[in-house]
Amino acid sequence: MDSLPINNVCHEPTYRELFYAHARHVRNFLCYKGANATEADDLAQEAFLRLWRDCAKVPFEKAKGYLFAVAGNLFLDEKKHEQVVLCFQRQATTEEASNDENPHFDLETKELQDRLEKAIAQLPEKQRVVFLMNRMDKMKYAEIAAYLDLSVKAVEKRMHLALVELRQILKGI
Amino acid sequence: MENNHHDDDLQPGNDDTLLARWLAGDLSPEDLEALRNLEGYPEYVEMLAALEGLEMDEYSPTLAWQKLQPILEKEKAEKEVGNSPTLVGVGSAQSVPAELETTAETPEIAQQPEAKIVEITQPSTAPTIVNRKSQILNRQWLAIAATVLLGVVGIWWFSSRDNFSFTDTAYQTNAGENKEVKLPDGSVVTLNAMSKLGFAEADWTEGRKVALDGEAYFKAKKGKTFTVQTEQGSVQVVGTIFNVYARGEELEVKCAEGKVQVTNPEATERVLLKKGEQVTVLRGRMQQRQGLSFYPNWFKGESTFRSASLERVFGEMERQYGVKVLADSLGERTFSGKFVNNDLKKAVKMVCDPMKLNCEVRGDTVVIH
Repeated sequence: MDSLPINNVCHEPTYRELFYAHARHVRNFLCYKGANATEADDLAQEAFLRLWRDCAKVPFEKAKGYLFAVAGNLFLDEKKHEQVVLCFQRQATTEEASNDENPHFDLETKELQDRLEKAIAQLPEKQRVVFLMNRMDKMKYAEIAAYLDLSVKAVEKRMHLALVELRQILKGI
Repeated sequence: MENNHHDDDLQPGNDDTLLARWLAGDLSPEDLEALRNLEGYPEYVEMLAALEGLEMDEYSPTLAWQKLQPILEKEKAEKEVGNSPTLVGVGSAQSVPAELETTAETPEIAQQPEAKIVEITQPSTAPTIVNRKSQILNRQWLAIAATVLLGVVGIWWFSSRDNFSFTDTAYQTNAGENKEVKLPDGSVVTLNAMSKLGFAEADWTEGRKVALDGEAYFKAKKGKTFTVQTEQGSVQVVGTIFNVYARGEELEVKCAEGKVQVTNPEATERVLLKKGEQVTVLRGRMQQRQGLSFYPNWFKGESTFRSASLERVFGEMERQYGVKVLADSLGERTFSGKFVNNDLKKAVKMVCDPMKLNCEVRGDTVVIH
């Protein structure tokens, strides 16, 4: 087993490295698609399990594309997602933080954040995924393109459109 | 659809990636001009600023890996029959803490020594050294050894750290891991990588006291005095938001909201920090109080520094990635800037490039020439 080359996905340390490199991104990707936190955790785990089963067939360079594709399909197979639940942290303490000595983090900001969350949930899925991968996971467009098997240009277009769309949606909330 | 939007926005040149390139910092002077003339530009700025305040919920790859481990083990057993590649070594060493994990749902005493074990057998996150020797050992033996070690470490832990009052409830993070802890009064503590937090749940009503070794961000609810005990001094607040960095000979406290009192270990020096101030206690001595160099933001996946020694910068890198940084001498220079906590190569570049250091990532080691 040690004779496996390190760029072989079946090589356990390689597989583990892939896990640590991509687990968070795969999991968050599922959230951005509309899964809730538990679903996202479970489906990400399932995607990695599939990768292990297919490790002999998946070349190292294709592993992350594989993970995203599988995760995406798994999400589709799940029951209907009528409502998009974003895995944002609930900032319970902000209200109390805002009631004294804290004029800069005011209620306006808080309110805008709430509206923004609602607006993001209303974005078309493809735009939302690209938008949040860039904003929340801090991924470069080229990285997102590689994960989603898109051209950089296509990612940029979705990103641009997401912003335009968000602003429009916000106006109506 | 796209065309509609372009009509709405009256964009010159039909630029359908302008906003995207703006965010990437990839605009020519003409583009910038176009951007400023874009309808709704101030709203975009405001929107993006508000977005900065949103955070993803907590997800620990380390925990997720531990959860996946037993399932992989099963797969492996099935694969073995089919004569396919197997999971040995790391897997077997890790199955021990993984099992413990499931029995101890709430992190209590048991988790303290357990986390210690995790540290020994598995320097956790990202690239780690595989202990090849462990592949030779069989699994059961390892489990027994781990159990014994667990006991030993546990005893050592609680007997040697009496003065540090890690009492009945303790939490610990591994390299690259952040953990959010909710205290009995609803106060929230976020632990940075390689940090420990302890408190006595039973005595909580008598006084809100926690012990910290490492770094943590506190959102303390209003109420009776809230005390953070560290080896380098103590921090007292009534109810506020603050960050405590207590490692080695240094205690650094940043006050983000309200007021924070910092006391040196001998209680001979004391300073009251207001919002937007910070102070350092170095080897027991209180340093000059200063304005906040930056708002603590490590829990957003970035480690930021202002005039920090390279030792501290690379120390943080070791903790965030579970790697070892090797350097002959880092000198006296200081670093101002930040690195990301999710991409080692990028992080190394973000520090080494501006410092003109020749750095190299070799597996789980960063070598500085």
